Amino acid sequence: MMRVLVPKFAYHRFVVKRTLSSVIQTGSKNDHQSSSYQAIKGLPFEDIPGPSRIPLWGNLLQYKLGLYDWTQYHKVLCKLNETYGSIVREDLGPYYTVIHLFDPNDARTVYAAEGRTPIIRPLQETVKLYRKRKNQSPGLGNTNGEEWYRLRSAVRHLMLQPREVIQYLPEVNDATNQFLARLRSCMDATGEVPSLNEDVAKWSQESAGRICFGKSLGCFSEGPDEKEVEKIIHVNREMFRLSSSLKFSLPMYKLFPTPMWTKISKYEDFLVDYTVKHVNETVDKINSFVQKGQQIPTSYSFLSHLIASKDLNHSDITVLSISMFLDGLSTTVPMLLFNLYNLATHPLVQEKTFAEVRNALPDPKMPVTSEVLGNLPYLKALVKESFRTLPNGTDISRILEKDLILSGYHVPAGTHVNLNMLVNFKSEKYFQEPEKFLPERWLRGEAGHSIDPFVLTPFGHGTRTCAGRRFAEQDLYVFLVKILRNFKLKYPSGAKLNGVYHTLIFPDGPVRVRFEQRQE
Amino acid sequence: MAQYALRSLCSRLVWHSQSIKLFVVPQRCHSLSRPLLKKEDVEVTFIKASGEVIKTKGKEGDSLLDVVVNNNIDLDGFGACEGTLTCSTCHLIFKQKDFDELPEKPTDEELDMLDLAYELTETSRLGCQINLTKKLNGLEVRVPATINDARSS
Repeated sequence: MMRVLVPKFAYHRFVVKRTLSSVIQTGSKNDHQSSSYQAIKGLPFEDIPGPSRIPLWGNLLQYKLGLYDWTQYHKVLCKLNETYGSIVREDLGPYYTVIHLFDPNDARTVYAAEGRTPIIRPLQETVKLYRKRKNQSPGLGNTNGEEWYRLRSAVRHLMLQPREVIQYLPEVNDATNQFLARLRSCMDATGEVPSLNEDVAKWSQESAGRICFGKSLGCFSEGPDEKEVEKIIHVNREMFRLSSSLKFSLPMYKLFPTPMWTKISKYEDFLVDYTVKHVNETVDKINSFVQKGQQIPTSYSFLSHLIASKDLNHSDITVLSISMFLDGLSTTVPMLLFNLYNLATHPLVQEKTFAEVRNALPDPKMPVTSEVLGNLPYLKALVKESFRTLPNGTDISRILEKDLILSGYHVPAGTHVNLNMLVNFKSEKYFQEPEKFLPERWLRGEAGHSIDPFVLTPFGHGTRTCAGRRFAEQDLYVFLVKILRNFKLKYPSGAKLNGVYHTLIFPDGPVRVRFEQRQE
Repeated sequence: MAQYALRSLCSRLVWHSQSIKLFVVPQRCHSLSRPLLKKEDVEVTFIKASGEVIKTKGKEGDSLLDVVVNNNIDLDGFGACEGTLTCSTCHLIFKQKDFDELPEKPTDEELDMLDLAYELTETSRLGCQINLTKKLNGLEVRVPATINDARSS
């Protein structure tokens, strides 16, 4: 009992202390703000450059007419940066003004001005609306202020404390071994796996299922369970595509159920039903242990932590589980595929990574432990380089809490800004030989190189850092170690992979890595 | 359908959670079970950017972030992520000698966060990652100015 109470107490004191100090701050901040309001003298907000807007539609017309291709939104951002400079205004419909920021110094300023509960705009407005209409908890990504702080506090240590997250390594190892078995059984004569994108997604679900629900979901069972997971993968992918399509349209779906909205609702119903079913089953199991007075097995520790948290209601628990269970599909999975592609198309980098991995894990059959993960500087640099060459997200969004000077302009509190650092990823200003795939550039202590740290923050920075960051990184590292330890990767010559924007950036087609068993 | 499922789950959880909360949640984390030996006080001095000197005490095993929180030391925005290595607000600057003697070297995660810290130096560490030992008694650390401080001063 002590074991649980001790940290709880400590966090509690923390919350009290922070709340008090924030109250005090607010008092002084107001004076400070009113004085700094006058002190801040930038160019007027109205003068921020941007493509020409029309009433109501704003800049949506450019997307409707095809001048801007929203499926290549990342390229649109580069074009906006080239044409208008480091700060650009875009109106994506009525009441939706976005200030695009492209300068890492502005990113630094925005992060530095953050308070205790930074405000964001949700990644998918559709999901927020769906949950609101269904009376569900909005979840971490769709809340702000104290409501967000409550949810975040309940999962912060569980999901982001490195020593907590490594406790789930056995689950990730098991899921990865299952994936390797599948890979070996379905390679064609060239070593290509016809459904690699989908198989990697199944691995992600297998891993997430084991963590959330303490059991295998049968993602590689070749039975009805696998079929169901396939449907989850497909539906989730479609959700992201439809949501981004709506992002660049007049938001009529908010007024009445448009056909696309109906489809999204149906898809979301399916995802929720599936997850709720598993949450239910797991809660039943946990409860039966409790009733029998037995200790709850560690395999259920994730959900039992959520249930035991006083600050979470039942809807919160379900929605947090949905995030933990599904979010990897649109983040970890594309990033993994991009990493595999980069390894397969850069044999020298692959050999260097392999050498490191072999040293860290001499026996390919052994599990990946936290010690192994602590000895992989080159692999971690490779993952960073993959975030640079094939990023997953286009922006980090914030709603300013105070007036700031950004790129010389006065941007008032309440403005929605997007930190679009990906436009700098191929720029010589920030990277030497940007066209080259060089993990070395991220290694510490490499002579003569320093990269502005605010150019690459794929998970964001500060208290609103992606809550799944640690699990995502752990998943990526374990998978890559296991794959490299067992296979040599190749790519058919001439084949190229690009990204397509569907709320986040996904591979634009099948990833055609060829796997060749390493002999040892 | 989804709504129904969710609601039925909710009503079931009301009952579940009440009974479960009486029990120990399975702990995967070993670090929480520390031996209950008597811990000695360790003296620590924080020097703020303004020059203000704060002398305080922590217990062996406490992190420097714990010391700040437990003693209600007023450092604006310090430790925003509560020691989960997602921000760099508990950035502290050590004397070279102390820095060299710190018991644990920074992990990759800590180094990544330090990159994003203001006024980064060769002897910077994150306070949440430094656990006090008897050897560190009398430790003196500098608290760098944040951008916010610089602006308001």
